[in-house]
Amino acid sequence: MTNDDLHSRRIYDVHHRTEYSYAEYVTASYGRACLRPRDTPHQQAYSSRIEIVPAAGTLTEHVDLFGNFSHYFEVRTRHTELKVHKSSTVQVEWPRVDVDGLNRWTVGSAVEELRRDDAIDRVTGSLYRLPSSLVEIAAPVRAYAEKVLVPRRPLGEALEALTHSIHDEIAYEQGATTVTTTLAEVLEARAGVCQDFAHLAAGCLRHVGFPARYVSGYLETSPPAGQPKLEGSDASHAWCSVVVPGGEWVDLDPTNDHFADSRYIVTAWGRDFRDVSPMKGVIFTESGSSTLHVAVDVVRRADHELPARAAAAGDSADGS
Amino acid sequence: MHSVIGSEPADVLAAYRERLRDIPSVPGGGAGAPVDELVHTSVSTAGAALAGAIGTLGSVGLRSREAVVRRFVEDDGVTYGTTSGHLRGRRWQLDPLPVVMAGGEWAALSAGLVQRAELLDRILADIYGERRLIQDGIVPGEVVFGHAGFVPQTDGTLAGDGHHLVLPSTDLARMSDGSWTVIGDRAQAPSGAGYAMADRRLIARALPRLYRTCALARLRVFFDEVGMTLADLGAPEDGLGRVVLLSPGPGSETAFDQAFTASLLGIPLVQAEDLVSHDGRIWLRGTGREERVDVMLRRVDAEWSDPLELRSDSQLGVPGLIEAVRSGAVRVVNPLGAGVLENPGLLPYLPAACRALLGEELRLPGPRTWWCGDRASAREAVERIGDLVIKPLSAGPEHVTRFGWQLSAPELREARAQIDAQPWAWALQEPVAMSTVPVVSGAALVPRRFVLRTFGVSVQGEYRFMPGGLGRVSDDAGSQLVSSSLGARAKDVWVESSATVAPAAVRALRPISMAPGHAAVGRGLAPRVADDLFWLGRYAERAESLSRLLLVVDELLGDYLGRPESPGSVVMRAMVQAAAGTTGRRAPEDFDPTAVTRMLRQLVLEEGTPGTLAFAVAHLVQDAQAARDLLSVDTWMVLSRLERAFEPGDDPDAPLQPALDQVLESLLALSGLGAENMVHDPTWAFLDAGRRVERTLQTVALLRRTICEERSPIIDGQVTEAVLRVGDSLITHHRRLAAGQGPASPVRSALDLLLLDVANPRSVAYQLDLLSAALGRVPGEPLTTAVERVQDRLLPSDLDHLCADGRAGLRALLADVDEQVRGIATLVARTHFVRPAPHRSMYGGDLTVGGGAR
Repeated sequence: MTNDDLHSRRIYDVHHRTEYSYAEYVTASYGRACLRPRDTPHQQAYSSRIEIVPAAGTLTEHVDLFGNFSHYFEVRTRHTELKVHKSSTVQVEWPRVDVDGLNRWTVGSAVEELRRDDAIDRVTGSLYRLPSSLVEIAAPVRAYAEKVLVPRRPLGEALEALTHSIHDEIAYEQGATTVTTTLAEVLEARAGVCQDFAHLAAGCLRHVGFPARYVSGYLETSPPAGQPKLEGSDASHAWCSVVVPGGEWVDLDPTNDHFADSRYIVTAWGRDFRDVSPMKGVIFTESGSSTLHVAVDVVRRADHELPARAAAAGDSADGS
Repeated sequence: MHSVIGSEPADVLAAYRERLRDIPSVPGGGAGAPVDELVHTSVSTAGAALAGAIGTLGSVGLRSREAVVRRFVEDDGVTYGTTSGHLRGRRWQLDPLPVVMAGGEWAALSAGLVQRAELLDRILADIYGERRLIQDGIVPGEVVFGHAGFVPQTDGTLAGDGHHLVLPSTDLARMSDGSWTVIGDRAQAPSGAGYAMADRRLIARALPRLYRTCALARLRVFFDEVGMTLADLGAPEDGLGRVVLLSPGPGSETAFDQAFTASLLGIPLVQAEDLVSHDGRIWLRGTGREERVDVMLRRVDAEWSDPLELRSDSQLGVPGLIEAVRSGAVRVVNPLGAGVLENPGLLPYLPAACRALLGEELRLPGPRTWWCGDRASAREAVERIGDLVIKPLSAGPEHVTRFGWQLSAPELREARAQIDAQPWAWALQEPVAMSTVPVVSGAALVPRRFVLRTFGVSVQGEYRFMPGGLGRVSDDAGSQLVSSSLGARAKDVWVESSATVAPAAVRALRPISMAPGHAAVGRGLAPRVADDLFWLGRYAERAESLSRLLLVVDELLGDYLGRPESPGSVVMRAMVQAAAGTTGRRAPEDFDPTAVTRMLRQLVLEEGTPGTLAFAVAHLVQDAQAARDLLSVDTWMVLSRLERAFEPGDDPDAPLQPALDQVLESLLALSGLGAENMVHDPTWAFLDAGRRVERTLQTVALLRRTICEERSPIIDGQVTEAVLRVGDSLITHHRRLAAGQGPASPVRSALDLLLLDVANPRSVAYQLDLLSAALGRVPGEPLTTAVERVQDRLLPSDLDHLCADGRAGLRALLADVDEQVRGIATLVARTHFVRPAPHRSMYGGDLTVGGGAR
């Protein structure tokens, strides 16, 4: 596959199945989820369908503070299994990041530029520049940031270096962290998953003065050479997005050590994972145990034919 | 230690004036000497009357009024906080002397408060709406987004016209130039209005003459206005929706304030488990039916209010609440997210925001404040941090307000480093020379710093404030800190009603049932409340039965302990065993007097052991506190007397009888209140059903431990007499025997009286009649058939048959009645007290996997 291919227009069908089974009856289940992909400058969502079994008594959608589609559902039919299936069709065309252009700035001059009153809208600027509950900027994070994001370093190079150094220095290890692990602990253990990588990148960027957000979505994966792609073998993914002078956002994926390309499908973004949790819920039950099964398929359409554009894609609320 | 001798008018006040001179100077220079609310600012008629009254009272009078107030506080059950290990609250601290404010001064102050409320309301709407203040650079975004009270989930939920900040609240202090300044805003869920009302009632009783001579603005109107406003916020179309007060529960620090407020407003006090959300709405679970909730006055902080969207470990909230707010199905007061206004970082930007939003200059000033996130303007303030008040943007357990001048050099360095690391998270503020007020301490008056918490309400688009508010004082004269919680000693605040202030009550108000104890009349009861009432009845009756038994045992011990040869000793042993059996233990084999006496004391006093009298009383008080909004004020007077009986005295061997008498007397008063002062509605029905179940079980248990065993006729006769005394039926028994009525044998006569006689209020048959009646008043599925089955088993009993075969028939009957009545209690619980299954969170998205894309 040539590099050009990675920036071509692509159409994907995304299927995301979340299934819970419980040891005892659940009498009521309430859920909140960011499922429907948002539109971005590089992505258009064509259709999105959400199916809940047992049928939800209430299913609503609204656009949240961050501009994401947020869904609420209630299932009040007694059940021992809950299935939430989402299918979406999106068109992605993600241009190559102009690293040379970025290199005309240094880290220091870019931060200075972004602090100018009219450089970026103030809500976005302040919202994504602050630490957040999962992006705590403690001393180890500050030290890590200051080592890589040196003020006089050219910006494009610095962003590549940040992506690269997290990728190289933090081991990808499933189960190494939980939703409560702090960034300082990730740096101490030198291990984590894509969420931690994205949080760490955002923390470093915010510390030196860049608004940076956590992006949740999908990544098309390829099976090992010569093998067919297995159903359910894809996964949701997370990376980091940073604003650069001019107001453009640059998406970097420290898990895979490169900028985002046309294999990346955005669902939602926010300050950190908590703002964009793909699914969370409260259940009323005596049951002490449950099992969760998640299966994701990201299927690239062979043809480039566009399906009919669905109405009401929604506007983003945070000015981006 | 006090220089005041005698009670000459001049002495107490003169000594107080002397003390004012000794007040430590205010740090930071500049702020000037404090003024005193009594000495310097009392230009009002009431102020002069107060000074006169202090003179008349003198030191002796002041001390006694303080004791009177303390006694009234106990009698009314006014509490704050909780004592360790108990749900029982600590006694509310209230000074007997009011703080007086002239009507004209209040009018001016209240105009400033109204403007501030308007401003904060507009800011709130902007923060969760257009965010123009941030976009236009009037308020830095970090001040808003960096505050823990900012709730992104509620973005866009402040829809509709009218004020969103329905209940504004501002803390004020008076500066040395006599003007008032804002030292904090409460917006999340302001507490204290109920305490202010309670304070007024207490002080009016403690200083009746002074109270009568002063023409004061009344507080009552404020609650009428709140009630009207909340009712107006509900859906107008059908008028069926309810207004509720959501409480974190009786263990909450301000549980009294919540329950009293609910009573004053005539709305039910509910907890999360009383509510359920479905179909996008919130419902109140009642016995038999659900009722729609349209308006929720909340005392649960936003963070805890919806475990689906916010803290997932919260059991104090309702999953789906934010969604119901978003859809407009329920109005929450104050709105979720309002906590962002409790924000010292906002203060420097209020004047500009006021000009931008209201086109006015800010009327009420605050002390000069710097937000450290604006490094340029705050640089100079950070330099002189040692003179300033250091405030975290979001106060919490980890970050509290500190006073620079109280910190050591290393602490100041640390504070600077914290500010340097996260400047946006801090604010610095000039100190305020808060005014002083006299507080009664022993026989003297001492100066304390004074803070006034004010309470407003939006009435038909216009803010009105309770005249005065809740006064609070510092722990000592030097301290600037009046606890941000309400634990500090309180002051009643008297605002003179003058001709210049139009009486606020001129408008016709919608009638609201105001008598405490009538909040839920005619409406369904939440299962939790029904449960608490049922157990309140059970523990009250259990305590009464036990105190009667223990009184008889105490007397028998006095007569026969140490006289093992006397026949009475056998009776004593039997009754001691019966008493010991209530805690499941056995009396000492040898009946060693010391051991037996110790055991009896334990049966009375050991609060931690189930079965003791103290245990029953503690649980009775707990259940009463949980159902506080349904019980009359008189209840607390009785319970306070009841609890005093258990206060440890100086003498560890003091006789038990006076304490037991006091307990019994209080319990009789309590049951009198239940019988004579409560409407016989479902509230009462659960309470009475609990009583009847418990009296049946206690009587049956007593008989099983005593009369069931056949003894020699003489002993039998004496045991029977003791049992009848416990059952309060001895006099009737004697009268009947003398008149030749009823069974001739004492045992049969006793069984007739205690089991079968439907005319004896102590008999089991009587309890079953009343139990049936009580359950008949409870809505929903009738449970009276279960009672009929017990009656069918009991009533046909033949006394001779019961007593035959060594009383085998009696044993069998009592075992059956015991089992069946316990079954009824279980049935009542299963039918009416069903609580929702526990809830917990689930996640389904954190299994993210990356890699493999190269």
